[in-house]
Amino acid sequence: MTGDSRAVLRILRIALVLMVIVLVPMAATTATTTSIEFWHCEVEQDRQETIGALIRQFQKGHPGITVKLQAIEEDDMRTKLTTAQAARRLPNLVWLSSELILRLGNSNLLDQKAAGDAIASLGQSDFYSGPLAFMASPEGGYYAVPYAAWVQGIWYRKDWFESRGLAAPTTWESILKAARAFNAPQDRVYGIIIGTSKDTYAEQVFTQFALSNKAFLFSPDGKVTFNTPEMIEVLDYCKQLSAFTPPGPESWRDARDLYLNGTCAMMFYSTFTMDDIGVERTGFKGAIVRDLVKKTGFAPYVEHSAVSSFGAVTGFGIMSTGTPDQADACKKLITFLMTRDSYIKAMHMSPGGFNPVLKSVATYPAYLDEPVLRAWGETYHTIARGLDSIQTFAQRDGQIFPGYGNISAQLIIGEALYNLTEKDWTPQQTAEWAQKRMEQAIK
Amino acid sequence: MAPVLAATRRRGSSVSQREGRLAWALLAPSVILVGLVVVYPIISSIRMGFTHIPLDPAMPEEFVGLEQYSEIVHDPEFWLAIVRSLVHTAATVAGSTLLGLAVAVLMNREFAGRGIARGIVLMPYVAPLISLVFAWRYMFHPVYGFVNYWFVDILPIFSGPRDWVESPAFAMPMVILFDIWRYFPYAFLMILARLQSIPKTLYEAAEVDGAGSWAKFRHITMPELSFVLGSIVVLRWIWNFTKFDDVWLLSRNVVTVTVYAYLRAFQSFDLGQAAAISSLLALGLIASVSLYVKKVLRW
Amino acid sequence: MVTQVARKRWERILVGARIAAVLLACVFPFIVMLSVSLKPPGDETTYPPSLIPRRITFKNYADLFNPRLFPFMRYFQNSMVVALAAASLAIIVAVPGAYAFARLKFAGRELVQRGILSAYMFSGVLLVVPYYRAVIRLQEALSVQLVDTKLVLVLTYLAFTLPVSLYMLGNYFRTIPAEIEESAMIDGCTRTGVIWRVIIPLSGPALVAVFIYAFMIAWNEYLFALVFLISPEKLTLPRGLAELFNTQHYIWGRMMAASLLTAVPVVSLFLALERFMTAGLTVGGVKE
Repeated sequence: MTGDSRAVLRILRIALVLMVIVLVPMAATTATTTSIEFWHCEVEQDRQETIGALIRQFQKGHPGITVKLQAIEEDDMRTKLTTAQAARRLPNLVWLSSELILRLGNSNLLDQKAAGDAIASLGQSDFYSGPLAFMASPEGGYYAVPYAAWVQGIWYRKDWFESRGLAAPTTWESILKAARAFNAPQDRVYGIIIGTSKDTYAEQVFTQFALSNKAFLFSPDGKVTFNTPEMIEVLDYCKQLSAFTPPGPESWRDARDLYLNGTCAMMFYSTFTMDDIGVERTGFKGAIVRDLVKKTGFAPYVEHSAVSSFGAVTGFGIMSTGTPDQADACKKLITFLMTRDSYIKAMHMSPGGFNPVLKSVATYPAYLDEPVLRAWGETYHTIARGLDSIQTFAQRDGQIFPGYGNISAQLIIGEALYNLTEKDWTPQQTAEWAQKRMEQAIK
Repeated sequence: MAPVLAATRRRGSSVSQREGRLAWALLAPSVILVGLVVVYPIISSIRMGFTHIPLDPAMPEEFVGLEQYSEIVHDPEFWLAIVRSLVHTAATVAGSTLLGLAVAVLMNREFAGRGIARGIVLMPYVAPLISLVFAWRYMFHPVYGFVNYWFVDILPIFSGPRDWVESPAFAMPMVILFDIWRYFPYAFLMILARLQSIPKTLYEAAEVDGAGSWAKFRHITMPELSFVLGSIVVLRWIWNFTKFDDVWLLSRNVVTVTVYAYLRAFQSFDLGQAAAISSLLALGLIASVSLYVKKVLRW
Repeated sequence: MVTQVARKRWERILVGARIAAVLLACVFPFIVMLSVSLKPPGDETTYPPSLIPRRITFKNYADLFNPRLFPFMRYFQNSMVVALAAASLAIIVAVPGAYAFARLKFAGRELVQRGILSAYMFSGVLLVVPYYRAVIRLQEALSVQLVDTKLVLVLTYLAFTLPVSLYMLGNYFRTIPAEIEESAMIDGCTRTGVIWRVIIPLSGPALVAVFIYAFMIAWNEYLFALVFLISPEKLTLPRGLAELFNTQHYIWGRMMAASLLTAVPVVSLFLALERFMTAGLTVGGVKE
């Protein structure tokens, strides 16, 4: 061998030794406690701090359990779950939206028994029935434990409505009338913002309209029923409404931007907007619209042939891929997080956006004693009352259709609305197309 | 430290054998790393294309042979996505290379602030993608965007504001425009570096012979650049064809084949099918690139 | 004579105008970012839009350095460590390999040379899943923590940039006249000595190019940082950006401020090293 090769090999050998020296100390320590991994979507720094503090408190009270936290944006949650599943490295506890819960539960990834135990120990009657239904499994048990709920509705400029003598936007007619009245595109002012993009927001808005026309997505025997006269009526109505929205497809960002700066009369949004509207969270004085809280009305119901109220629920899912000890630890953590004081602290991370699903906590004075909730006053109580009647396409007359998770995942309804409003499809065309795609999705 | 001449008298190994061993020693770290990080997952991915991977952990992964490939090939959406990918890639590769060439030629001269100018040209390429996407979406917003304001209200070129990024008519051109803007600095850098090493004597000799600037460009610059241009086109073709974020983040309504695969993998949790799509794409790329390299570049 | 001078001046003005136009097109979105970053919330969505803010505030920048709102410095540090490591290793690993391509004959050279680019034929989005699987298996086999470390990202980014680095350096090394190396070897230098004493000093521009390229890839990468990093204190800037952009309570000004601050290091790096990149070959040009 030449000196060259020898030199190179010597270097390689040294490098290898160095690597080992560096890597060995990083070796994982053997666990003497039960360790669980908890994934959630609250990435904002202040929320991570709150959750972190709660977890530390929990660990102090339960020395045999360590909790590893991971905060992941909702958009990235699917990517993370997929890679974790492929590598058999799923977490133990997840705090996710009901669509994802359904999807995971439908694939037998969630421990129904553990969830049922947790709900029982907290007292099933203390739960609002609406949110419980969101987490139910077709077998009669529960995929997950509901934790926080929000309600969707139309947030509208009460002051504009009053000055024009218009009725509150709670029916198809009144919404359309108001949208037409306030729409002034030459001044860049718009009547309403509804979702017409290929995303979940569009689906959520559409669902509320559909349910108000008794247009269900599933028949009692589990078939997709999108191509129905009722659904086509809804599509037609949405198309009419879209004439009074800004050009192009809209998403929740447009709703938030344009309502907060006072250039649209109505928007569909969840109660997450309460702290944006209510308290100038950003800390800036002299925001564009003064006293937006007082000028904003909230219509949580849409009425047509039925009264529909839409909302979403997030809950704790215990993964079935862990050990019984880990499932037990998860149950303890859930119970802790739903005990009054910690529950209130957690819900106050997003007042209005996070509404507790336990009646005892929702009515507790310390919970209601919060600046944003106080700023909204009576309006907030209408929201809380609405929690019992929220529903989505996944529930119908007590039945659960987990296939909805698949349809939701592929954003089919959003794409349908996009095709309807941007590509100028007819409602019939759209319904046919969506029906086919949905049937494929749940195969 | 034996001199090369003396070494050839050593028994047992010829120069070429020793060279060979040295070469492999020098290449070892690269090969090991790329093998681990890239080659192994590729093989794994190819294998996954033949397997149905259920989300349910209790169910086993089953070998389904060509079933997933067949499903994809029979899906008209897949072929539409391929067409979109081809259009997008061809347009962005051509656009960014030509633009990079034009700007490199333009900047290949002395002027005050040349260093800073070159730094500025690079900015679209080096800034984080998500920032650029949001900046563009902001600029092109149908309500408060600058583009609509300037071209509708100030200079009435268009009749009314439109949503450039999401509307069916404009989404693809916008994505193409964005990607050309984002990637032309790469071509610019590579070409400029090469341009600077072309000796001035060649140009001076041509000028003496009476050549104008276009003739100089065609007969001196272009031949000197042919290798660089060829490699830029190949690399950019491979990279742009497989790009996902650059399309999806800007507009959800441009479904190229990588977006199609992503939706299968991460929205529908169907890893097996996504892997099959990925393998098909790779095959297509390997075929087209080998053809290009053999026929056009003649390497 | 006068018309000659006038023509030259006119040409220069035209060229200047063209350069200005190019620079404007490149930098305009950043001007927009700057403008929005200086506006208080509410001002950025008003119509008609104004490039020059009606009210200027630095709060968006200040907020980024408030650890209760956004731990910018922590993310910055993590990104910097990872990017510097990846870029330095890129040079250390690619130089010997590229030399082998450029100067040495060995079996399989053609195959590896042509094949190295095929590493890019599989889209990153789809490779991440089998790669993650492989890393988990490796982690379990070696009993070593790999997930949620900077190490795994550094090695990953290094592997991503190696094919291009080998390619760029290989091409560059080939343009260095062989006579210089040969005379060094006749003087008693080994191959490795040649690399160290001859090739590297003459390759400044290419080395800088590889360094900057690898640094940039490592600095801006998101997907693998998403999949591999878990603990909040390990996150890199791109993940921090995603946090700012995707939150329900997003603030345009903060998003744009963070974007600018994230772009600054790479652009500065390039500006600082730019003159090394275009130094050109110091050892003659192309012969004949």
